[in-house]
Amino acid sequence: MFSTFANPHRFMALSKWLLPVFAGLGIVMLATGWVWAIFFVPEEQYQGATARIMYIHVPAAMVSMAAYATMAVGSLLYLTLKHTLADVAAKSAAPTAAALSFICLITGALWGRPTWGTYWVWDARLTSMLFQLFLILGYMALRSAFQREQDAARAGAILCLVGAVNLPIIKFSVDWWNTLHQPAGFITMSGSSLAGEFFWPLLYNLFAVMFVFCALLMAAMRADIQDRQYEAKLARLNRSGS
Amino acid sequence: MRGVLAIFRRELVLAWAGGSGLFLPAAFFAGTIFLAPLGVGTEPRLLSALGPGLIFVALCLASLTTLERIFQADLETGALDHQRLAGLSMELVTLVKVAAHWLVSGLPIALLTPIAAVMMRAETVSAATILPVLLGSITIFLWGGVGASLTAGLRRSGPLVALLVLPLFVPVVIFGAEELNHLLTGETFGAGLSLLAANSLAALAISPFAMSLALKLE
Repeated sequence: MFSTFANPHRFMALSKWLLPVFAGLGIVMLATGWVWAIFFVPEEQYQGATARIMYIHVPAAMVSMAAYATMAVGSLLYLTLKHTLADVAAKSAAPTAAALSFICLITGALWGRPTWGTYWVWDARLTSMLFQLFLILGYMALRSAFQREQDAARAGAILCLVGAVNLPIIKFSVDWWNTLHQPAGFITMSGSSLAGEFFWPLLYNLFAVMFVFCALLMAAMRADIQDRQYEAKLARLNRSGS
Repeated sequence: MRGVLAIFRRELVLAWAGGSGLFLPAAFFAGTIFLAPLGVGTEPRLLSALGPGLIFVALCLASLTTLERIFQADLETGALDHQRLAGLSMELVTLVKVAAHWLVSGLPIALLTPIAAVMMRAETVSAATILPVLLGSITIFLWGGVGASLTAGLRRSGPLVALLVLPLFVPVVIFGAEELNHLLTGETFGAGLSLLAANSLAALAISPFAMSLALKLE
């Protein structure tokens, strides 16, 4: 299956009509999802309207992790199969992954102020999200430091995989540290399981952000491939000209 | 195996010949620890509470000072290519280089820990105080080696390496500081020490492959 879609030409042909579909779905669902969450979802019992931040915060957190997983899978496929398209996917997912992690942290801080009384607590999830953001920023910085694309691709892929192996350990250690140092210092959502009237708009918003991510990923991949094709054509012209 | 041992000896000789660079990370570590009381005050309770965490933060920062030396020179002079052409396993070569680097930079820091702990007004200081820092520094230098290998071909890689490897140091700082805190307040070994050891074993298993892959030529 990989080899079928790994052909850049086939990818370009497929993404040409898949990209507008994802982009349209993402924009429409995001717009309607926010209207649903802001105006139609009933107020949460304890937090009131503040709990509506959840409809941005939770999808951003989940899709940013999915985006990091995309980078890790792309890196693994690039290192094992040496296929450029896998690297293009990993590279293109990174900025969106960083942006979503950042959105998650910012909305988390804004949510924390009225409910926990402070913008930042060293909560286990906040902390591990912060380090995920650092890993992604490190990946982008490392890639941009190399002149040659192949060097950047291999170094980036190795770093991304080392990070992916470490991320569960980091999460575990932060959980462990948090339970030792901060026994129940904050209030969690009143109920552990969400009621249906909160759950469905959340799921809807999650899919909206997922489609936006897919659209951004495809747009970035298409731009990168076109850039490579352009460079290759330029090199060919230069060679035949001289 | 003889080739690998020769590389180990060569690395140690080079480090020794480098003169003052040898104790640079240890000096950096000591300097960081000695500056802290000047900033936060000399209140003994405060210092002993800060001590374990500060020792591990200083260890992480000190390890960054000479990281780029591990592979950069060997890559530039072509020594690494020779070692590869000689048929040596690059996983072993990189591991040996990091081991030699740890021996001259990481071990002195671990040996300094009791002194640092005394200066941070710890209650009970014994030879066991060295253990968490010793185990933690192994992990830190292995992941540091991965960062160094990824940026070996780059000029002025120092700040970049710091950004790459600092997230990987998180578990060491957490488990290490907790365990050191246990020991310095007179308790016995806790689960933190096992987790530190497990962490360094994981790093030992993964990092040589990452390093040799990163240093492979096109």
